[in-house]
Amino acid sequence: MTYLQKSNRPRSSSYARVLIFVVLFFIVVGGFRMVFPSFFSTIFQYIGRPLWVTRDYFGSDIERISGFITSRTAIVTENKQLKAAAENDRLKLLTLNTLKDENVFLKQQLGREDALKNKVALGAVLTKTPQTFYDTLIVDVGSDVNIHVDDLVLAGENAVIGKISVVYPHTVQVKLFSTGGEETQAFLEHDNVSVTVVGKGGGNFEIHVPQGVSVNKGDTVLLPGVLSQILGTVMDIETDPINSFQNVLVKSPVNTNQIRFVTIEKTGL
Amino acid sequence: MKKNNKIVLRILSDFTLLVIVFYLPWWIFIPFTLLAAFVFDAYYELVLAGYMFDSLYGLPTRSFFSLGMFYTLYSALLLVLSTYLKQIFSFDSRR
Repeated sequence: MTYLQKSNRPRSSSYARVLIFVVLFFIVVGGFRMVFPSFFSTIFQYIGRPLWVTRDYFGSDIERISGFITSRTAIVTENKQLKAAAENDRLKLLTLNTLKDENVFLKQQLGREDALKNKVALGAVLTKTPQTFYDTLIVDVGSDVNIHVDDLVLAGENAVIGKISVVYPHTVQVKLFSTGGEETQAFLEHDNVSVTVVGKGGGNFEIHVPQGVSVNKGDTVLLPGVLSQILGTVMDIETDPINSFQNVLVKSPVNTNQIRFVTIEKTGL
Repeated sequence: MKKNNKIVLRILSDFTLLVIVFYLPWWIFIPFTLLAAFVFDAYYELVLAGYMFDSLYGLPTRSFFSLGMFYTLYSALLLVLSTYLKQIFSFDSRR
């Protein structure tokens, strides 16, 4: 009877192989990242962009189809609520438009037309929270439309949500002001107090102000500048008698989970 | 499980990882990888998917020691830990 001869060579354990793989991975990728910091990111963005665009295209079709199976009573109720909300908003808008015209006129009179002439680019949001863990957005415009790092990103006309963090050829990554630990200089509109707003994730911020400063719920937090861009509104104030500071909780007016379009204020040339 | 079935399952799992990275909420990555790391032997794809996640969405933020590589570190740690645990609790002398 013949037997297979046993090999004397020791088998390397899978644990050792995995450990070697992980160490080599970090050395190779880390080294590569030092030389070409955004090489892999650019490649993955190239792969991701058509996938996200396709998802959004079919996503809107699915929404339309799901509309057919919604109950009629629910639609009628929602319609009534929306009409009431729209009427309320229309009345508010009348006042707002008057004030806006007045604001533009005053800026022109006082020689600040430059503030009104910011170039903007419209972008569709490809990925947003909760898909991303880092409180970032990916928007479908890139260096092809002359966007630069640190350009301001707005939702709607006046609500600032973040800054451009990385620019790829056809996409940009937006770092939200609410990203955990992110510090932004702003001021409380109520008393024009300069504050440092610290991001807490998910559109939430925190401000520490001395006890003597008057802060009320609903106060607006604005970015410095003549345009009065809104960063958030005060939702809650926590005071502790033994603490000389009060903790102000601020919420962004925009829900970044539902955002579809953003405008990017191009500050570069 | 037959070897062919295991390969098919692994390919399906890889595809699911890609879908998670590009489409699904971030937290789905955690339970899925926890499961996959213990089902498959030396699941290297895990680290690649983690790195892909970080490259796409990651930012150096203060919350993660300015690294912006949370998923890569998590995946690498999970891969090493799962292989180590499987080795300890396995009765197969060849491992």
